Amino acid sequence: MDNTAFVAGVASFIGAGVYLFLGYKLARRRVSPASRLPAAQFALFWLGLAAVTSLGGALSLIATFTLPSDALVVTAVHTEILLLSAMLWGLLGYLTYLYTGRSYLLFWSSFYATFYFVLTYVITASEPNVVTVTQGTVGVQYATAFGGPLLYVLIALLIAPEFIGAILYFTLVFRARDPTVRFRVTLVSWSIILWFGIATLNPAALLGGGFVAELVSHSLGVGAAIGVLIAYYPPRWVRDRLGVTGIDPVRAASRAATPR
Amino acid sequence: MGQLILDSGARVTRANPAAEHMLGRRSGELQGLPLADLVTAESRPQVERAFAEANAPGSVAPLARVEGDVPGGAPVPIELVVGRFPERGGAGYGVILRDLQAQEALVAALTERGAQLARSNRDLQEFTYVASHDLQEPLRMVGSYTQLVGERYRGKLDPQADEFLTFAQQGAVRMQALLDDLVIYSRVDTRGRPFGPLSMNACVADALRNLRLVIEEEHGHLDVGPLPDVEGDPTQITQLFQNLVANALKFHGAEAPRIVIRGEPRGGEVLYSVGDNGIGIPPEYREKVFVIFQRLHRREDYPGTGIGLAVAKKVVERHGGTIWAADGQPTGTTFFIQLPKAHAPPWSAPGPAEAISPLHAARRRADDLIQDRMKELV
Repeated sequence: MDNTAFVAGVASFIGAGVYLFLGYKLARRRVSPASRLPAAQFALFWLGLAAVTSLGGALSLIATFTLPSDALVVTAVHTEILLLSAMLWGLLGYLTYLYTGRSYLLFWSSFYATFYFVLTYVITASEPNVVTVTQGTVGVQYATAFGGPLLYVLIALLIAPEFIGAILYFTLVFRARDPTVRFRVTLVSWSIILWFGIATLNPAALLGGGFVAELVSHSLGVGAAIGVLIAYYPPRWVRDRLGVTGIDPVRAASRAATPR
Repeated sequence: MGQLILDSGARVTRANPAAEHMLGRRSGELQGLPLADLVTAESRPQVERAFAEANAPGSVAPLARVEGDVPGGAPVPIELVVGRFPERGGAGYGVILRDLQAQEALVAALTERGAQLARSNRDLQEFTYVASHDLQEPLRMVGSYTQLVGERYRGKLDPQADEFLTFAQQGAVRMQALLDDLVIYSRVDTRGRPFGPLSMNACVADALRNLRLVIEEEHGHLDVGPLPDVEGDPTQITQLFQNLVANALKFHGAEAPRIVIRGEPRGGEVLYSVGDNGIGIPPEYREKVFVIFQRLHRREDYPGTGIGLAVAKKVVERHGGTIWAADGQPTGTTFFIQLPKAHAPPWSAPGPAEAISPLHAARRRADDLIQDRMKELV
C-alpha cells in the first residue's frame, strides 16, 4: 500500500467534496436574468474543479493498491483537459462579467475551444505510454517528449489568464462597500491563486519531496478549499467579529419582499 | 405705451408723456431729436432696419427690440414698431414704444426660479441616492447581528423577547426592501439612458419573459396587440410594462388574471393601455397609487412596498408622457400611458444628476453597476 498516494487521494476527495458542495449551492442561487449566465459559469468553475480534483483523487486511491492501467490514465488525462477547459471558460467569463458587465462569450468560447483542441493534439501527438506514480500523484510519461516554445506558450495560456483574473478579482476588495463581499472576494481570490499555484508549482517538489512534503502540499490544497467554504459559510466567530454573513438572510428575504 | 410722431427726417415732433417717461426725458425734451439718438449705439442698426421696413411699399415693419438711451441712467429695454404715414410736404412716421423692463424682469425671475427648482430637484435626487446607498451598510449590520442574536438566543429568553426579535428582524427586512426600492426609484433619473427608436412589442415581450414564472403561477392570460413604436429608453420602457403587468397579476380577484395590452397612434403621440380584470382601484385612490410607498392594502393581503407604480410614473414622466388609471372593461383597472412618438424631451439627455459633473456621474454609474454585480454574484 502506497501511503502517499492514499493521503493524496483522501485530500483530493476532501477538496472535491467542498468544491462540489459550493458548486451546487452557487448553481441554486437566485439571480436576475442578466446575471444568470455568469452565475452559471461561476458554478461551473467550482463543479469542474470538483470533478478535476476527484478524478486525480480517484487515480491516487487506485494507485494506493495497484498501478492504474495506461488506458485508464490516458482517458483520465483527456477528461481532465476537457474539464479544465470548461471550468476555466466559466471562471474567465464570470470574472470579465463582474468587471465589465459583459461575459465576452464568443471570445472565451473560441479561446478555450482552441485551447482544448491544441492541448488534446499535443497530448495525443506526444504518445503517452508509461504510467507513473510520483509521491502519490498519478501521471504519464510520453514517448515523444514534447518541448520547445509551444509548450511554454501552452503553459502560459493555461496559467496566465487565471492568475491575472484572480488578482483582478482580488482588487475588487478595494471597491466593494459591503463587508461580506470584501470578505468573500479576499478568501475566494486567494484560494483560486493557491489552487493554481499548487497545481502548477508543485510545492511538494519545492519542499524536497517525501511524505511530509506531500502532506504539506495536500494540506495547502485542502486549505484552499476550506478557505472558499469559510468565504460562503463563515463560522460564528468570524460573523461576530467582522459582521459578515453567509447566505445573507436579510438580503434574500428583502429580495423576496420587493414587488415584482 | 409710448407714442412718438416723427417728421420725414425721423425727428420727434410730438411725444406723449409715457414715451418721455420711458426715455427719461422731461416734457418737451424729445422735441426735434432724431429717433436714432434716443437709443444706444448698439440698437441703431435695428432702428435703421425698422425704418427701411416701414419705407418699403406695402410692408409692415416688424417689432424691434432696442435699448433706449436714458440720460444718466441704465439703458432701458424697449420694443418698438415704426409706421409710415403721409404728411404735408413729405412722409411722417408714427412710433409705438413698449417698456420691456417689467417683462424682462419677470422672465429673469422665472428663469432664476426654474434654475432654483432644477437645483433643488437635483439636490433631492442626490440626497435620495446617497441616503439610500449609505443607509444600506449599517442596515445590513443591524440585520445580520439581529439574525445572530436570534440564532443564538431564540428560546433562551422569555417568549416576549423572541417576539421582539422577530419584529426587529422583520423591520430590518422591510427597511432593506424600502431602501432597495428607493435606489430603483432614484435610478430612473440618474441611470436613464439617452432615447432612441425602440420596438414596443420587443420591450413588452422582454417584460413578459421576465415575468414568465409569475404568469405561469397565476395562470395569467395575456393578450398583446400590435403596438406602435416610440422613441425612448428600452430598459425603462420594459420596466414600465413589467411593473404594470406584475401589478395586474398580483391584484387579481377570484378569476385568473386576464391582461390586455393595446396601443394606438394619436397624432404625434401614442396611447397605450394595460387593462386587467383584477380587484380595481376606487376612483379616490387613482392618484395616490402613483405616490412612492403608498399602498391601498395590508401587507398581509398583498405583499410589496408600493414602488411599482411610482417607478412607472417616473419612467413615463421622464419620457415626456402621462399615465393614469381608469375603470377596467368590464371590471378591474386599465392603465393608460400616453407617450410622444418621437421627440427629445427635456430629460432625455443626461439626467439632472449627471448635470453636476458628467465624469463624476459616469464614474458613479460604473461603480454602482459593479457594486450591483458583486452583491449578486460574489
